[in-house]
Amino acid sequence: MKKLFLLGLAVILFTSCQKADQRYFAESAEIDVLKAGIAAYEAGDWDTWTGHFSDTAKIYVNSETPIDVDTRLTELKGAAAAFSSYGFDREDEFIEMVIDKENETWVYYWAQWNGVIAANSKKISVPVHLAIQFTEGKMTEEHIYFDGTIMNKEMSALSTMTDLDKKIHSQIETLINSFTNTQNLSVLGDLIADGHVRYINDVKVAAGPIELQASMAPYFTGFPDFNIEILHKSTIVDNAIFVHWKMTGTNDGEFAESPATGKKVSVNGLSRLHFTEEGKMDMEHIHFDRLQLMEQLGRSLNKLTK
Amino acid sequence: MKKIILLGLVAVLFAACQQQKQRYTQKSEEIETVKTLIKNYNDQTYDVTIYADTSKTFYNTKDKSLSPSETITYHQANDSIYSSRGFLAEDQEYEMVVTDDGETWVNCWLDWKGTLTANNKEVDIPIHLTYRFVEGKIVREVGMWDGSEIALVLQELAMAKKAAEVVE
Repeated sequence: MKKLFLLGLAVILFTSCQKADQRYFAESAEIDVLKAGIAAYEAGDWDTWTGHFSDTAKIYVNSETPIDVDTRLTELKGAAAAFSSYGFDREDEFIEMVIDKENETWVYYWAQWNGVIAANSKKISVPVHLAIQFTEGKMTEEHIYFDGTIMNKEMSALSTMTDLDKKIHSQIETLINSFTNTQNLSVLGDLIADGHVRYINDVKVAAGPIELQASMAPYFTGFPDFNIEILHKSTIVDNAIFVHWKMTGTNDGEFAESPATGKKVSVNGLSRLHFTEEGKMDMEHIHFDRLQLMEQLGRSLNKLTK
Repeated sequence: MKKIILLGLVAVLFAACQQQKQRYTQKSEEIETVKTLIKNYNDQTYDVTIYADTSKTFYNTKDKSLSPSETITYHQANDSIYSSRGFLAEDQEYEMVVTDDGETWVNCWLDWKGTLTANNKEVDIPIHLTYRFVEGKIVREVGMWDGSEIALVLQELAMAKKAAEVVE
């Protein structure tokens, strides 16, 4: 009898334990739903994103007052259009699920969100926390926590930006993405003004699109993966802007009368660019340390002067 | 002999069950510690010893951390902006979990309210805070909230002050 009693106790403990211990989950179907929802948000697949919510879901964005899914969708679509890229940093993300004492199922998510504003290439990076309640596999309540200070400041600055300043920013994107980084010469017609002049370290090296191509040709030959990354852009004053940039490339072609070395180079520089009232670039003052570039290719000042 | 085995089984299951239960709780010493920390903040009686010496605080950032004393200095500096401020008593949620890596974290979701001294404006901010514990001490504090409304008011006040100075 005692044996039976003990066995019974063991069974009861085991089953109650099974029920009680299932309150923390590192993996679950709900976690997979949230991950799919985040992937849909990042891809701009709004139908899929919406499909993970219940019809009556409430979303609290840094607020005690909820909005519905349609209102949130409109907000997200607007924000997505303002960014050339956005999404969560997978390396830093953490996700877990709990079932609380009221037997509510909550999935928690922490990650760094990064976005690049399309109009001026500014990068925004903020930590984000999501707390989402699931009911029968659907999201019924979402609480979103992040600091919107920088994003709101940037968006408000953009709303007061003149059309010409917006065009100047977009022309710089074209200059970097289409001309220097992919060597698409066809964009130069709309980009370069008549009377354009380029100076490198205060020496005039080109005038007009044809000479501009010629001045870049040795770099494109010497570094087939030639790439410019914008580190910072100033505000635009009198149609002029300062751009701090980083050039990287692998010396897989002839450069400066020397055969390819296979060496990788990385040099930072600063350009002052001026644009016409039509938004075409008419002056470039480029400054960078050419000696640093040559040293990275294995040349020294002695060898240069020989 | 069989009885002993069964008794042993019951004991093992019970112990394992106890351990398993500790992966999620809404009542624990660590939660009480966080509640004390929140109360200290509300009362402006800051106690640095709640944190381990090497604890790092991350408020709305992933890389710019504050030491325990810097965290308190940060709060004290902000205190001058408000005529009153603190976490509300209602709608506060506290939970403790043990992650797969064996880390103990207390998560909380709180509502904060402050009144700006400069213009008597009331600001309500939902705040998420999470604390990692090691041996009863906080070793990591992470906080996320939207400071934009306060930033905007402070910016407007600074501009108004500047404008007044120019007129003078």
